[in-house]
Amino acid sequence: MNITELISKYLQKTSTVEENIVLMEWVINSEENTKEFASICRYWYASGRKQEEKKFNSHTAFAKFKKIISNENQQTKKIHVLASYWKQISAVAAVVILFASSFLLFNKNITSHTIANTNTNQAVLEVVLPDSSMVFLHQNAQISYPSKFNSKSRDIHVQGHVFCDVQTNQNQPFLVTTPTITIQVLGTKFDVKESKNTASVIVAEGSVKVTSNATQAHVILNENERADISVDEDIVATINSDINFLSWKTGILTFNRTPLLTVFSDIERQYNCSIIVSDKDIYSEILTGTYQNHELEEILEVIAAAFPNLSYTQVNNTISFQNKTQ
Amino acid sequence: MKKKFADIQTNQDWEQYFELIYEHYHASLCVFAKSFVNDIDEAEEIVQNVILKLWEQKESLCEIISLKSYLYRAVRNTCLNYIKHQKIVLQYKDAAWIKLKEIESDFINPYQNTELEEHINNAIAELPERCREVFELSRFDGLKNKEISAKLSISIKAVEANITRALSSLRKKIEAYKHSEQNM
Repeated sequence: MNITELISKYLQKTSTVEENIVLMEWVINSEENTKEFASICRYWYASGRKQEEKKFNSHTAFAKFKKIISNENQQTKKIHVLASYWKQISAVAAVVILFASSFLLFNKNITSHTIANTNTNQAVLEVVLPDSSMVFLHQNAQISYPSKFNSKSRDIHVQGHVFCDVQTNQNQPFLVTTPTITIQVLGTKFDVKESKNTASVIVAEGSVKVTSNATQAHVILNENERADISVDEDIVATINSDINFLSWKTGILTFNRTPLLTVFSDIERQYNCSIIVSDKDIYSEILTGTYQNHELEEILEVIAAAFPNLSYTQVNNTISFQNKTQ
Repeated sequence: MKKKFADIQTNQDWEQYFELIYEHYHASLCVFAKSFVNDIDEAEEIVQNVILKLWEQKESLCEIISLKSYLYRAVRNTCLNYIKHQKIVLQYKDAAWIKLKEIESDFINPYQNTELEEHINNAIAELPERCREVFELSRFDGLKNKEISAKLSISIKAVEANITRALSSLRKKIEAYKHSEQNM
């Protein structure tokens, strides 16, 4: 691969980790290389600048700015104003939340209020809670939590698909409620997927107690265990066999002697596509490998290359694999 | 423009001062921020926070020698911090990428250079038809490679190849122009 190609991928933010390392080594190798890199980057940004500037509305931004500073001048409830302003923006960046929590430190006497957030983007949204626990929201997931936890417990409410990384604090239990279940944790990492009347919890680290809101039936889950709950059934803990349960957050798909049946269903989930086969025997072929942040097409190419007897065709979001005719 | 800023500063009409900041720098700061982060909203949010921070310190504004470089510097640093923080939790940006971003933003003069831009636009106009089309969809319309490939019914590899081709051709043309200018 030539250097311009690497730089071009880097500028489009489609380069892989390995490609970035190759490029970086080349760039720092000599002053000349650094200059060449910088000049190509400059042409790239300069060429689209005018069009890109049009995407931003400075008048609206200044209006917002004026609103914020006029509220600030009244010297009251600074954080409330900022919080309500941020709520208007659908995707609140993590940096903003950090900003908000630093305000909280300065305004200790302010009473707690509820912060609600919905991830309307395709990208994972990261929310930092007041105790620095983190919640990662999948597309369309919702969270609401107090701006300040009370001293007895940390209560949050979620809906949809989320991953929680909870700060350990024995004295202040962490409670996650969804419409279907309640999860009590002390300090752990776990995945919650909740949709109409069903929910699943997979524990990545530590342990949690899952209680059904409807029947109060409960189960304790340890590392690498999962529970699938529907409203009127008992909760049973099973070993989690889904190694790619966090791929929506990490972008990493790992296969370890995995049959294509599972490989395809993991790919379908990750890329929101559908894969069909012409012959069920294809499902029993075995694949091993790790793929990080690849485009769907790249993974398909890799699979096709790994199985010389297979070929595939893609129409929109439907991919069909078939045996090559001899 | 410098004088305009200075006049207002002596009058201490801060609101007018900041209105000028929005008028002159806001959009290009946002574009600059967007080269670090992927999202228009995130970029705007970062710029808004940088300007709000400046507002909080407006009394010490006279100590800032160049407002423009202060703003670009602040946006750059905020973006880098933001990316580094994201990297830790999301693990989707790697160390090499951040290093490249740092080098790039150190070298790039984000100030508007209309003459250079004019040459770039001319060079783009001279690209072969398909190549120009792909490059413009990527740069001007902000389409992802996947979207371009669907729109033009060509493979993603072909999209990538065309963008690479466009960039090397731009580079050759602009280096040649710079060279001829030096010799004049």
